Amino acid sequence: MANVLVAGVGMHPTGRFSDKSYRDLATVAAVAAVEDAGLSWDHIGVLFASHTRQGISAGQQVAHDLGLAGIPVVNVENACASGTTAIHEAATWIEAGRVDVALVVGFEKMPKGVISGLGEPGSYEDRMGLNVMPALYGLMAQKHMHRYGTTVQQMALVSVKNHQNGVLNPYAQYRKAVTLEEVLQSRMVADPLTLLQCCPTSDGAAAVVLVNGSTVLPNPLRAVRWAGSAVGTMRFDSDESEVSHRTALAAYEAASIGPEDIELVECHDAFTIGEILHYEELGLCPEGEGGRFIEEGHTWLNGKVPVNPSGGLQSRGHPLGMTGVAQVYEAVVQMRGEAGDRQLAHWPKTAVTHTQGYAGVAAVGVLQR
Amino acid sequence: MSAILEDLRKGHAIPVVPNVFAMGVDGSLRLAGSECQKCQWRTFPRVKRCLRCHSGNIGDVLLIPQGIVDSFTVVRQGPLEWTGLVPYVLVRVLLEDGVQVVSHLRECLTEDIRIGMSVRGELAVLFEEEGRSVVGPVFVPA
Ligand SMILES: [Zn+2]
Repeated sequence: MANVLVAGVGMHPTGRFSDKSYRDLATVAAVAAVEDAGLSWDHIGVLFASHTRQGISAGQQVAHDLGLAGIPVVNVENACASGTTAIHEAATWIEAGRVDVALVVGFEKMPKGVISGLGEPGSYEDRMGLNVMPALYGLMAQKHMHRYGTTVQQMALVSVKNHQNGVLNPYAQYRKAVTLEEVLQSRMVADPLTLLQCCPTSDGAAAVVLVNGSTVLPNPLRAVRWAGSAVGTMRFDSDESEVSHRTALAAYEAASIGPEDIELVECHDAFTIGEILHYEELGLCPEGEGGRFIEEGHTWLNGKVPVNPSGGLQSRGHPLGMTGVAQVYEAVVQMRGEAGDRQLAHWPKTAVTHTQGYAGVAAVGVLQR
Repeated sequence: MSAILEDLRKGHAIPVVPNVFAMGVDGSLRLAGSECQKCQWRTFPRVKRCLRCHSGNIGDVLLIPQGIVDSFTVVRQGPLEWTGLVPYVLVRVLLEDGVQVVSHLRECLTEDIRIGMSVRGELAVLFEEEGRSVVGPVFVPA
């Protein structure tokens, strides 16, 4: 099977851009990624477009704006895991020898407020008011607190850490540090999660260029290997934690790594309890120890496994279709030593990206240099 | 609950979703779930095929809405259509036969909610719609 490399990455800042369309955002990110790879546009064999609510054939609209006429365009929707899924699928095209170069662009423009329109209109969950993302995480948080003694302070530390990281990221939506008190005293959204423990809804775009390992690149040393990935859904007897754990193990196996190899993680901190759970699911710490893991400092920029140096969903923002792609952007610039003020002292050799979303979907990618 | 049943009979109230609850022979509330006829896996709300063994041979089963709170939260900012109805308490309940049900918890102060507490199902008015009460199964402390 062909080796897949990430040859180029690009982003549009995340935030609110009422004067720009999703096509404008996606175009900026895609042009930046292709220029970063140093490849000519006629090398691109396929465009994967990750988005959840931009309408029919949004990827074809973006391809048109990029001047990419005539190539196959695949639109990918997998809730919050759309971006990771799109890269996973694009890598499959290269591994299968279908194309040598794939452009993946993730983008989204989102309405303000709690995400609505989840699930089937008129279903039990819809009519009963159960499809509330903060509430689903609120249930997870109460359970974790009850079972393992995780504290609201430990959860709030996730927000403090990620906002602090976001201050250093020019692409982040919120470049403002917050204190533990501010996080805990912000208004309650779904107990015990306060507003500053919930990611914002945002506009943004990110892009990556994947290539077959035999492709001649102008800067081969800047390429990072897409070592393995997996996409999963929940089983009849499982929950969100089980699917993330199982999907991570599948990705690690595909990449021939173990959790002890991981030196950087970008994970799905849509809500602070999520990041604590993901420490456990991704194997960074034993089950039940996630709260103590952040409290002991292991996941901060100078810790043994920095998590969400980009600022994560909490601070960088969470345009749904963008997130999984933006995570790879962060991993790649950190692995290249190009992350500027937030550059990790030790340039990671192995990084993991993880997203999970509505209806029990999870996706995990492994990058290596 | 008898007033709600009366309103349902007269058409002054409607069920939140068709076929989601029923009254047992003894007149008490039941949840309309599914049971796989091949592997006996039970679930709520109803499914078209079995998620455990893939069988399409699914039967209806009336579940007794009694169990313990597995987790809970208070929704203080809901989806658009629930804007005027917050805050409301959601609970995930483990029924005595192992089925998980998520619904509202009523008649319990937030500070009194405990994981592990016993609850039972009851019919309640969830909201008003086009001049009629919309009724669904909720939990209350047992
Ligand atoms: Zn079955």
